[in-house]
Amino acid sequence: MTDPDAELMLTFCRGQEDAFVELYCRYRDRIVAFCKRIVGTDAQAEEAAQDVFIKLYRARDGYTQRSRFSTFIYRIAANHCLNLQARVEHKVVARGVDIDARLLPNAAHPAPAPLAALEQGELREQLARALATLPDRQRTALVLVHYEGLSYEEAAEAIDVTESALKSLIHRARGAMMEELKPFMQGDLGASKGARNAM
Amino acid sequence: MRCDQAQSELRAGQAPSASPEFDAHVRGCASCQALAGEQNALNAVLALDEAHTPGPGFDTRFFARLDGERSAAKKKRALFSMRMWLWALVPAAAGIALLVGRPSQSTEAIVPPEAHAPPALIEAIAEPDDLALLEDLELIEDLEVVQQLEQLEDLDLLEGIDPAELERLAADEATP
Repeated sequence: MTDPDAELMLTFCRGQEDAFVELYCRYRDRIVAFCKRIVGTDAQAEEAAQDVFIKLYRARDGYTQRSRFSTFIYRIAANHCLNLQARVEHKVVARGVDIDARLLPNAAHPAPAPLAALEQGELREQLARALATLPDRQRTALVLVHYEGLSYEEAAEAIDVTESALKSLIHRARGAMMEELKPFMQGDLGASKGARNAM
Repeated sequence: MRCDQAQSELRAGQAPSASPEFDAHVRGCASCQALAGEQNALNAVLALDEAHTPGPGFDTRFFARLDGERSAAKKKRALFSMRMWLWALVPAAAGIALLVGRPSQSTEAIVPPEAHAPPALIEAIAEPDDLALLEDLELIEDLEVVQQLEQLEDLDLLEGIDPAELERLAADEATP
């Protein structure tokens, strides 16, 4: 099966810089969104996304088409973001700051919002907070499969684990998300019960 | 498909529509159907997370960085090729040194024959021992003369000749 993005990368490897610009245009938004979900803040995410494309640019000398191009670029992005997170956590631990307090700004004062009054905006905030509480590898696995649309096989290759290990990471991530979001999901659960036959 | 298998797939975010067997099991199993409903609700909440789009100036900043990267890559390539040239020059320089060194060694090794040697060389060769040898050769010639005289005496040819006359003849012989 031909992969047009991989063809573009090979064209870039042969010296045509226009092919790189085309790849940048195709993947820019997806990589920025991925980085945002892994590293958190907008500024850090944009910086990380630029780093990913610079790494892609540098990769032209050693690129060989072994898998789909999307797997290749998400592998660069996942490694980069996980390294960034590891460095941040190392610094925070070294300074004696509680990681949970950083990841969960409201953990000490959880908002007991009434379910009926919870609007979508608040739910989004809770969702972002719940995503941030996940361990980095679980979050990366979940984001790759759920948000970026990679198959289990591709996501496993991107973060360098076996497919069963990836499923286990997603299983745990979804379980934790369910625990965090259950209080805010009652309406959705009720609605989903009616719609479950549609699955 | 068993319930544990189906529920494991559901908890990993797999949709029952992924395979006909999976779908058939979930449709026919109440507990799996309930779990599928919960997972579906979670998917709906996860979908609320909006994709972040790059802020204004993202492209400008990126291509400015890329220009820096390109020029750095050019410098790196130039430095690399210069190093390659240097590495290539090392054996060439070694070869040149060998070629230059060889003739000087050969001039020392080859000594011209005596006949064509310049005077200074002959002087260098003619050591005091050699001169002594030449003197010895003259002595040998003298000895030969004495031997010839003795032979004449043995033949009694000198009998009857006055010794004074013999001395005079010898003196004449010695006179150049």
